[in-house]
Amino acid sequence: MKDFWKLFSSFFTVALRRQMAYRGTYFAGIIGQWISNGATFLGIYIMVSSFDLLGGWNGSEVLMLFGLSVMSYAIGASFFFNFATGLAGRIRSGEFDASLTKPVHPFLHEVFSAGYNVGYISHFTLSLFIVIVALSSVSYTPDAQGVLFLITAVFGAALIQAAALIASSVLSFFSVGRNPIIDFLLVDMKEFTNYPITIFPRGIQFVLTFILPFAFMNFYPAAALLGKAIPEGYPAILPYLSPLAGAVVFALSILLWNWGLKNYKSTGS
Amino acid sequence: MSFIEVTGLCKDYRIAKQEKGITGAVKSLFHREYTVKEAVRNVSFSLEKGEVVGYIGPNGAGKSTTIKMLSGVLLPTSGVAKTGDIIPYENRKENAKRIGVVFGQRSQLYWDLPISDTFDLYESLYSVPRERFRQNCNFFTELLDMGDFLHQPVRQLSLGQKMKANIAIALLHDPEVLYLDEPTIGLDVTSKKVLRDALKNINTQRNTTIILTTHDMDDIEAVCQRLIMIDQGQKLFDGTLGDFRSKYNDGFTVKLEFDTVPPPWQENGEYELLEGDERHWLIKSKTEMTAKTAMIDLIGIYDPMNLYVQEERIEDIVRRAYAVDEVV
Repeated sequence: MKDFWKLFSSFFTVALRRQMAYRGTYFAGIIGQWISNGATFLGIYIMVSSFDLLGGWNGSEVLMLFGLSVMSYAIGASFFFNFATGLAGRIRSGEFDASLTKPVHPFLHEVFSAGYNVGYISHFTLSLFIVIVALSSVSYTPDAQGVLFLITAVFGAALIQAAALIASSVLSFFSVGRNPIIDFLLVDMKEFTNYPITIFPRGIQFVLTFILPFAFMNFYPAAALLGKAIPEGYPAILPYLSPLAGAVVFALSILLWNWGLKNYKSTGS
Repeated sequence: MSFIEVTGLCKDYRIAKQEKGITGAVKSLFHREYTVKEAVRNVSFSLEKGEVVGYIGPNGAGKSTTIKMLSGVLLPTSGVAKTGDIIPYENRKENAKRIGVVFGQRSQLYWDLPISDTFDLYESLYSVPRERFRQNCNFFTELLDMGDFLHQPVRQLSLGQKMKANIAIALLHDPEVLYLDEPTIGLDVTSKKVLRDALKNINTQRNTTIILTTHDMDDIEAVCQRLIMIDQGQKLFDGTLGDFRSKYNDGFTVKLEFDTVPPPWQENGEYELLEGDERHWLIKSKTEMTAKTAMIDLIGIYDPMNLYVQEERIEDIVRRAYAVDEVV
């Protein structure tokens, strides 16, 4: 464990130094992200504020969903985005093989050397702003318990986002190029959670809760915080289980990755 | 028992075929068709500690695949590889501490940072005592003549400088074995020489076992005592450089260059015209003669403006060697 932190801090420092070598690009990137996410934010805001209620959720409450989704993505992606999107290229170029000649687990080595992506600070700050705006406009009075709940829920949500990124990279072990089916399951399915899942058919609610549990990223924590109904017949404990759901899917995604690696080592494809 | 033992090593690659479009994407999730390529076929050899071995063969012969199995990257389809008392692909981490690997032109450096930063990173990656690590950094910086560019961002470095740095970082943790996949590819003559001298030095001073794959016969001549040749996954030759030359080398070719239209080619039993245009001829002797005799002879007959003697390229030797063994 001591070694882990030593390794993490050395690689983290290197990642920061690399990105700070291009400060201009870095700040331009942050502003770009603000504009692009800000536009999505405005789009959703205008849409939801023109309806009165969406499945019992008002505009600000729906924005809370978007805010939590972006915030958890910012955290998960800052650690895993470079890794997940870069893996296919590193396998193709042969750089990945070098990771297998290092005395640490290749997953750790890949994640660390792909580097922490500082750019997601822009997503994070924007999402924090959205969440605060949304909560204050529904006159939510923060208390210690609520804030603590939100922090652990966001942590669990970040693990879910990370798991989706890790799982999407596993395909690189099997074939070159992306698979649109996988992209749909791991990227596009998340879009549903920008809206309260109670407005969707029961099948989709089930998938987003038990199969690809993206609803734990934002819907369930927000429902708990704002006192909203969850799908009929679902256990009342669900809104509090985001950290657990996060830990489970994160662990599963690493198992899946190791399985992919095993295949790579024996087929070398 | 030898230090490195490879017995009946085989590696098949399965190459997946994926159909285009959505149906192809759906299908490929459930069922795939493969073509099988035998990259390494029943290769065996053993190495003593401190040996320097050249592993040669044309592109796609299975050199890199063998190195990957020895360094623990790939699992063999069948057969066994052992380094020290470890099976590298089963004890990958333990093996990784004892080996240094440089895979050809794939740099392990961060192109936007100076090499010195990558050095620091490697210190945290390998559990080497700090004092020893510093010593090694200084030793290899000196040996590979890297002092001038240690603190420059890697993107500003030449190919030769990057290769030196890659070799240095592969050695900082005192590995017992060094695997080099095409270390001199694309380098200029001076860099090649510095690199070869450094490898010899590392071998004698530290008794590091070195296995290098290469296309360049000069690499072999400069640093290797022994040569293993493979083609199409099979071992064709294993022995000293001298044995190799006397078994396969077919001498040399002579290139003549003319400034005017050359005199007519005289067919005889001694020389063969391999290629020729209006200004250049490529000639090979049919008999065993020294280069000196051929030069004097050819200048006498054709009076060219210029004359070069070329040793046979390794690819040609390997190609012919393969054809010879096929017949036998």
